[in-house]
Amino acid sequence: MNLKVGYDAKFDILDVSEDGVQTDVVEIYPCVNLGLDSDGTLLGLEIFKARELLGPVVEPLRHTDGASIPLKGSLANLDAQLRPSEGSPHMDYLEGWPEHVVEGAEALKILDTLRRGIAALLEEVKDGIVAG
Amino acid sequence: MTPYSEIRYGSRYEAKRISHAIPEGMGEGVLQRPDARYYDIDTGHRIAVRRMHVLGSGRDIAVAYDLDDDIAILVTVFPLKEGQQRNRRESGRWAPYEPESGL
Repeated sequence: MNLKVGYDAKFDILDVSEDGVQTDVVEIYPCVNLGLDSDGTLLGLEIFKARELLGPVVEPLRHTDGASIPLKGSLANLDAQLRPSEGSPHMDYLEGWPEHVVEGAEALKILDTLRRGIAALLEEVKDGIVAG
Repeated sequence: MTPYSEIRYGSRYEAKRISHAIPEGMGEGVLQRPDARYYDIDTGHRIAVRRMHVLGSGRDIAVAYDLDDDIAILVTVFPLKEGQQRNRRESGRWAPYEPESGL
């Protein structure tokens, strides 16, 4: 899978991605971009204002100076959890994924899913180093 | 003629570009000759968009960048789907940006 995480502390941007050709990018929540491959499979996430949106989840990466840190997990769970269900009332679909139109409970659910999912992926990272 | 004295990369730019197989120099190409420029009101970054032939067809490519005086710092580069630029402009998310200085 070749999953990696990186954090740009200067611009406060977190990215988690697998290698592959990213053909589309959709924003599912303000400042949260999902990179998709040509099949619409989640290939990566890029989160601006990461400290504000994710809180302490970013903490282990604060001093990594933009380095790519390999992770053992995959994005499959986040793909399944973030992908909207058929008939979901999003305003603007781009091949199954919504573009930046979430409010209220649905927005909170997306943020919670992101926080939990990324925290799980970073569980093995302590002070910018992958344990084990 | 580029208005920037220098174009630098943010600390994650090059890693993301390589990981996603984005051709070298694409970000600079967009930035130096954009079709449109915006200010992203949510992220606070500037955005340059240029139509390019990539991924087997004509696509709008967006670059997010910041300025440090006349030095441009590339933050990220990504392809747009048809209609995505218009949606973001019409929703007010991307405010058109045409500085007199050219930066």
